[in-house]
Amino acid sequence: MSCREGLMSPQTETKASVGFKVGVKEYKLTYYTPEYAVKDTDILEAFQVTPQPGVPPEEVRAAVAVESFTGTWTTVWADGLTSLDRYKGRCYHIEPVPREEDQYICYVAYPLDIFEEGFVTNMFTSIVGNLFGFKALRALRLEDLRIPIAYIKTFQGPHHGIQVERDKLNKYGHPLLGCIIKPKLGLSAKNYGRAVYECLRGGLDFTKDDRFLFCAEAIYKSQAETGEIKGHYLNATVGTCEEIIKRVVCARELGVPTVMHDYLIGGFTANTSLAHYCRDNGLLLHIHRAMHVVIDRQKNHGMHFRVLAKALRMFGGDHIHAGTVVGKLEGEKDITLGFVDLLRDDFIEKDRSRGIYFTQDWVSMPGVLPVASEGIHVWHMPALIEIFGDDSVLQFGGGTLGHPWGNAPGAVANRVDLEACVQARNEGRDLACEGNEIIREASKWSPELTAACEVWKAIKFEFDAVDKLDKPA
Amino acid sequence: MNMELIHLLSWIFSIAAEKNQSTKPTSIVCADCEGNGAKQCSQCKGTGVNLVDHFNGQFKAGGLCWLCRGKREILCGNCNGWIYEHLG
Repeated sequence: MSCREGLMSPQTETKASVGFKVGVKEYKLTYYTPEYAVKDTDILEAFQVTPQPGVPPEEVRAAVAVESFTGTWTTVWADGLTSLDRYKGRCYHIEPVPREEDQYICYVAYPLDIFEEGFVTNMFTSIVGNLFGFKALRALRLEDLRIPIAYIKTFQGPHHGIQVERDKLNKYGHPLLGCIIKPKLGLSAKNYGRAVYECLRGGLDFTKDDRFLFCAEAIYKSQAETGEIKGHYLNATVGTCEEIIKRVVCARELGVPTVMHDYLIGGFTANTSLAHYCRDNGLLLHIHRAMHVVIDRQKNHGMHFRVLAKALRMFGGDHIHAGTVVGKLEGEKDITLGFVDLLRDDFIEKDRSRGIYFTQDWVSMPGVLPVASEGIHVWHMPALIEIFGDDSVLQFGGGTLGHPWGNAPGAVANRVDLEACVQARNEGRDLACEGNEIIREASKWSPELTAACEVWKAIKFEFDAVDKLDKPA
Repeated sequence: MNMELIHLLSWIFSIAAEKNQSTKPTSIVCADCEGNGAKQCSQCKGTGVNLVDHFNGQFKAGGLCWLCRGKREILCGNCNGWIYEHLG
């Protein structure tokens, strides 16, 4: 059975000489199409490919396009029952990775026809579900993907977005402050509520996570004392989707503004359901990325976090943890700023210096606030404000709870620090050069900040980041 | 993590480092606090009391130390009380 030549566009026409032959086939015959012109409706992906030694590169590149989609290693008779040319993935461009031997960036285009609207589960199952175990590949990493406008419009996206969240909280012109409650285990419900109250009354905007009982009381009490809207991320990461909904219903009935979910562990499907409920009931959704390092830490294998971040923006979440650059966890500034822009901005140009492989237009889909947490303290504040800007959440866990005077003074120290740095920036001072001086000036009239400055000295984080951009040779 | 386990693990790593002379010795405990998670208060030097007046007399000399409040120790800011830095 042969393809019906003349009835398909020239760029998509399968070679008639392939026909239907039993046996193993060479992928490059039909799936490596460098002459293919990408359509606006295609989903585009950039894979970093490391073939096994001895495997022809052109075979591997095309196989990346095939294995996730219509093809397999052998010709099957049912291929003749479908229009392969319409539905197949195509590797349309290849470039070598600078200063790496036998590594390539393969660009693959997938027709939108294959994907079901409104959920990412289908998309990830198709694109990365089977491919990473392919024996011909020593390593494979999904670096970036371009979501076409036609597909974006089928997604709910963040249910509030940055501006609506600020309107709900009535807070403008500065980053939001948060803190995780520690110890994570062992506190009674009432003592946990006390810890939450102390942090919120001291000046933080949010606390995180777990626990429902007594936290609502802590929120209302701190709101009454401070006159500010406060939140605690009630954790809805549980074992079944039914229980997730049960917990978030409880949160809504308590009247708290925010819930949280570990979206990689809970799963994309569960998170989509949760996001829909949060939109319908006016709840902010804080997303934690627990387990992400299993996927994104290695430079040559897995998925880059920018892919996970894009997926989160599509199916919904108001905050997502994005690393700090300056804190304990590794991350390079340019890469972080790249995916922070992908979370917040509406139109992001391709920029390889920041790891952005494709221009992405979000067509006014609301943005997501990046959350900086882990290992940050008062001395990091100028750098954090400089790097992340106002539309961010800064979470000081140990940096609040480790204050020698307690949780509330720790929160006070961070709040004074934040306001001093924001004011200095608004007055035109250079946070990068004068940051430490700004903090010392503020600490002269805040004993809490002075104490914090004594505990935490300037810390050097000497990790050599595993994930680095490939600079041109 | 108890101190015995920390010392055992440190000994194991040091033995491994000695066997491989080209390997830089590693440590799993924070060098600043030596695995305590806390260190001597930098203000009172472990005495628990203020040595001089602070904050325009708000905290008097001889009174409880304004930083550690008499506990004589403060959190180690290098490891945030985690007691370890990094491996390798």
